[in-house]
Amino acid sequence: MKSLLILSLTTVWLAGSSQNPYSILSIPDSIRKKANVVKRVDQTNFRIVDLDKVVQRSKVAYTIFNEAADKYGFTYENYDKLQEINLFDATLYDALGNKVRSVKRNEVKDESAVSGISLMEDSRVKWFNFFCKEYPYTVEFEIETESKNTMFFPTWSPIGDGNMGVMQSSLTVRAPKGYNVRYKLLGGAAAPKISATEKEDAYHWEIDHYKPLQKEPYAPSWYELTPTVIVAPSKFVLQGYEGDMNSWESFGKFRLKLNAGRDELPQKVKQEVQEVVNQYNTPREKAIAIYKYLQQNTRYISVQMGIGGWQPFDAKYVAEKKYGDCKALSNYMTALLKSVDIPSYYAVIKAGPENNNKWFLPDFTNNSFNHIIVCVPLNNDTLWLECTDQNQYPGYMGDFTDNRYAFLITPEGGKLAKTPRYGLNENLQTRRIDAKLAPDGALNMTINTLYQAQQQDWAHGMIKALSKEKVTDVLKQSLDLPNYELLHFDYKTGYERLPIVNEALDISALNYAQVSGKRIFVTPNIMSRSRFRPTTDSTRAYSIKFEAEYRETDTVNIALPEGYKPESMPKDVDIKSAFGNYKASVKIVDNKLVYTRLLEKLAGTHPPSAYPDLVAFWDKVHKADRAKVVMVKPEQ
Amino acid sequence: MKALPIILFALLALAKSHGQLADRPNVKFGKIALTDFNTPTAPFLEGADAVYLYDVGKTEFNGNSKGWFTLEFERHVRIKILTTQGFDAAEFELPLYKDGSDVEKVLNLKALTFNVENGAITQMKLKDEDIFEDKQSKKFTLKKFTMPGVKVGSIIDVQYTISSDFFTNLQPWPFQGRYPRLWSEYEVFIPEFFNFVFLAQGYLNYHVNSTGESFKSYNIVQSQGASASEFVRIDARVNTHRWVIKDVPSLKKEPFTTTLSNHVSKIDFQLNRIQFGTNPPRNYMSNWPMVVTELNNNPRFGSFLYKGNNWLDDDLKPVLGGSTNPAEKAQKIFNFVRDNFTCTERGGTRMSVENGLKSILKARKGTGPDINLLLVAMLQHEGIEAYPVMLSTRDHGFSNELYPLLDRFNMVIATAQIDGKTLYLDATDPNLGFNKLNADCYNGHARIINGLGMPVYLDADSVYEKKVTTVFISNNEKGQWEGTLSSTLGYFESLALRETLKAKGKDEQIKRMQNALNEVKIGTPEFSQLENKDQSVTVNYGLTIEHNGEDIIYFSPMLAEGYKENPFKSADRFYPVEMDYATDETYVLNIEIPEGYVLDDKPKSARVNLNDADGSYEYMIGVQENRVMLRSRLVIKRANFEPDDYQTLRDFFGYVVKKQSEQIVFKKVQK
Repeated sequence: MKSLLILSLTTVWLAGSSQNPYSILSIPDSIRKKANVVKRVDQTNFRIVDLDKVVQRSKVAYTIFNEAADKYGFTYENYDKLQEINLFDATLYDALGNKVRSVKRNEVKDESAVSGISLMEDSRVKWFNFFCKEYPYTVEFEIETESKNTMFFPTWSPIGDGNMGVMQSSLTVRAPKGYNVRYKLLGGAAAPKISATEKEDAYHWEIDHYKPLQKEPYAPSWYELTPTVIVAPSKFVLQGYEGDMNSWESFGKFRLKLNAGRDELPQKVKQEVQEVVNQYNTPREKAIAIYKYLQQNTRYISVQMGIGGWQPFDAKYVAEKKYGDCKALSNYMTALLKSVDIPSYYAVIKAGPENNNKWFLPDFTNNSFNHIIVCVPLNNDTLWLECTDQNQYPGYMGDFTDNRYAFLITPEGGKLAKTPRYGLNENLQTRRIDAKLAPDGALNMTINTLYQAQQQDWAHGMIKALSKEKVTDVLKQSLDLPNYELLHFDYKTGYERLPIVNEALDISALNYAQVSGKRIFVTPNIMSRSRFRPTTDSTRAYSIKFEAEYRETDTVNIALPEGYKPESMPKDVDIKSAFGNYKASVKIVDNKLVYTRLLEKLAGTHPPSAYPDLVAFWDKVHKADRAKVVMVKPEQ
Repeated sequence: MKALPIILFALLALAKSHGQLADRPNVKFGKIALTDFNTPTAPFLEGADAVYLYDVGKTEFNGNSKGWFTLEFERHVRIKILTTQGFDAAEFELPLYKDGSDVEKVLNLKALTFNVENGAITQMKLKDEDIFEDKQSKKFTLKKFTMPGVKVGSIIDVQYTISSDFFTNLQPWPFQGRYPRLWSEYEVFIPEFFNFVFLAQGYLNYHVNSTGESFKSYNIVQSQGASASEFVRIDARVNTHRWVIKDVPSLKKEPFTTTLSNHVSKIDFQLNRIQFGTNPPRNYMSNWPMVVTELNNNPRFGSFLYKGNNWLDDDLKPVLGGSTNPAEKAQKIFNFVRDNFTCTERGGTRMSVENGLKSILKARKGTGPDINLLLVAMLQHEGIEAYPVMLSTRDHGFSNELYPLLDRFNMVIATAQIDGKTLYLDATDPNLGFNKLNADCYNGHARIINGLGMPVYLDADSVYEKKVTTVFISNNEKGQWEGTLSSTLGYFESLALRETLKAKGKDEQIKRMQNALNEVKIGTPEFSQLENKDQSVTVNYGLTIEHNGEDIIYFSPMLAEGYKENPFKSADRFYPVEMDYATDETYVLNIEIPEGYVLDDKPKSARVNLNDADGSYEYMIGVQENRVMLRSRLVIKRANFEPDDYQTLRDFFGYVVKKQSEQIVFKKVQK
């Protein structure tokens, strides 16, 4: 009887829901299951009205089932002098799709959108959040923008997130007849339906009824896994400058035009540069000397106003104020090099973690960049220069800009070139510890560590970014030891082909070894215990991808207190796997514990089925790194 | 003795007449010598990225043309950049407010960068085009600039005046900040008719802390609409105050600190009273009873609280479902508000809208004050004695007990008297139980906004985080260890667990628990009392520990419990230790000796005290037949400790960490 009642109630609701498109009852179970949020409707209409006018109207509705999806109850849109917001509407619906309320105009927040890294920008933001917590509920946002900048076309990535079900999502791009709309299909996206009217061509992409997917760690980029369409202009206008994005070459010519005539230097600076390079012979030495001059005479300050978001402040501005953003400093650097006849290129790049390098595709010209560096082409030995960092080494690219394409702005137009990659033989951490163990478990030790290439990024960043006082604080508080005093520390940095940091620490670790009755327990791996430990996934759907590689080598000598005999020694470990190699061994030689360890983490892509092996490898490393030697004092 | 102030006054007047206070460094804007570029050295400057060579501020009152007074705050700061990290010291942000015709303006902004090039000093001026106005909101703009031509070794000189019509808002002066200062000085000139209260804090000693008197004529223009303006001249005695701190170290963050703003050396001001001659005074900072009355008349605080609010009848009826017992009614109302209203912003001491209770009830969302004042109204509606309480959360700094300074508070909660018990209620956090507060509310002094405005003290010292864990392990038929763990968490740990489970899900939590245990494999944990937010959560799970017939089994009896590291890492301490709560953690283990093994060795039982009575650690271990029994109990009776106690506290925890890492050893019986 009871189930019948529920059934009939459901029927009544379903009947009612025909008027309420946002009722949760109209979501099929297959889409609801495992979803924190369901995208009910997503319609983006992008219209190229003219070369200098685009209008985008989007309507999107999400049904939010729990706290984890609260962020979808929030929306925002940026605006500035060249982009207006014509419409900003938001409506809240209850579980059955009944309208609760609409946003009032004065409720929409309107704030400065100057980002944390900038001194000044002219961008502003409107945003709104219903802050509803009666789950489930549905929000619908409708926003229209109109922009005079036509360099940015939308990217359609309808499966916006893990645990998101999608009922419907579409993108329609309309362009005047004869306008070449460029697009790239990714992640299995289907080709558009193309239709035409007398004046316009329309491109339409749509999906419906997409079940929620689970995000997984160490997986390829989301756009490789789910349907994605990148749409880009052919011809466009940016702040009055016309451009052509049909090829890297033509797009490069546009950037060249933005930079044209901005490399003139004051006479005084020219002379200084000449003096700086006088004592050097090769272009490489000269370029490095000029880079150091740049580092000593400028600093990073970001001011982004109008076209200034795309066009560098000219070289004279930097020469005078001694500051600039990445564009201004890179442009200045190319001007300095030019003044002594060393050719170099302004290099546009997407900086950040590698897997964040989304939307950049070498075979699809598109503006997906956020940073500028300088490329100095030299025979077999191209020099890459990060111009916003007073402490970086010439030619070295940290994980902010390593191993990826840069878009070089050459006099002939744009070209792509790859920045250096650092692998197993470059990214090194080599550590030696000499220690003495006291009978009460205290360990006094000298730790010498050589970090190289990307293994030195953290230490380099710390010692360059923090005052010595703060470094002391970090070292006093961050080492993975139960109870210790930092007696002395010293850092030496250096650079030849690759940057290195030499770290020397003197530490007294109280109770490092556990003394229980007649026994002493010592973990011989004092400072290099791996913390990486992927958790077991019940099912793995996506392939596993690691980009970074490194090698850690450890040698530890611990002088033991008199009178102890080994009772239990960890067995030697030697593991080779597709994910990495590991070796550890401990012996007693002349009343000293001698421990050696090697860990090599390898880059690579592996099938989903390899996931248990990944977990097993790091579990073994985790365990071996914490293995203890037990010593016992024979009773007298 | 009576003559002293006069002598002091005379001396000060003398000093003034020379135009330069005798002990003030002779620093003039734009005037600099090569020797000024010598980097100062002193222990407190070690490792600094920049140093304020000179930071001198002054506030004076002037008559304005709006018929009243304008505050003029003048500052001259000279900074030397010592490293590339010190470049941040060359960036400035001046916050400016505007409200109706009352405005703040920057006047006479002058800024220069000096460098030494080829043995000669060069200077560069900040240009107007490089000064930006970032309009944050209608009432608030940031004036921003960065100095041009800055290099390591540069000296920058910045001077500006901010004129402010907000005459109650006499600029405070922080003597201390991110960079050390050689000379930090502030002077205020307050006409006799303004009476300000001075609030000084910090641990540094004043080099100068003096008062004096002078005279000044204040010219005030009162415009009379379109007709002529009225001109008033007031001659008045001026009270002058001057504070100097020399050799100020930079402000350093230390763990277990409420907030650095409680510890920074700083002077702040509050307008107390204005009185012209023998006219009746106008009080600005009356006293708590008056403030309470004002708040209870304020439509954005309490004007609706004591009016019966009959309109709540219909809404509360279904919530109460016929309950008549006050405790039961209070609980139901609290749960209703907590579970049905979204808190958009927890902080604040006024409601987001005037007389907004009805609209908040309808919208089912509001700020912290909106929600907790609605709660108070609902409790009162049911005849329960309930009032709002204003407090300042720990990250916001201490509130002032002596003066009713409302901007020192940032949160409103509720208090109720039920069956002779005082309860504190906060319905803004969906995870928080009845009569429970988040740890950051325990910040000492708070005020009941009722009657005389009595103080209440929410002391971290009075809050115990009590946890009891019991582990029972026996041998199973396969000769392996198998057992159960049952842990009743402290309330704050329960809160954190509830939040993690909501945000990350149960699977993720189980993974974390398993990861912390290494060799021990755990079964699916059960979390009880998860939904009953008034109670602490109890976690139960089964566990197995395999051993493979080794000759010796080493067993860490604390499993994942206890302290693996000393929480007090740094060897030295400058500020008091301010923990969130007092602690009481008990761990009991009962484990069977594996079959075929004997107990070979076990840690020693021990007991140590923290100071005499501030806490203790007890580690009792014994054997009964074939079982080893351990009881470990850590008690810290206070949350707050003076810097002098730091070493003791650190040593005490060092001992706890050592003891909790000790192992039990079982040996195979040789056949």
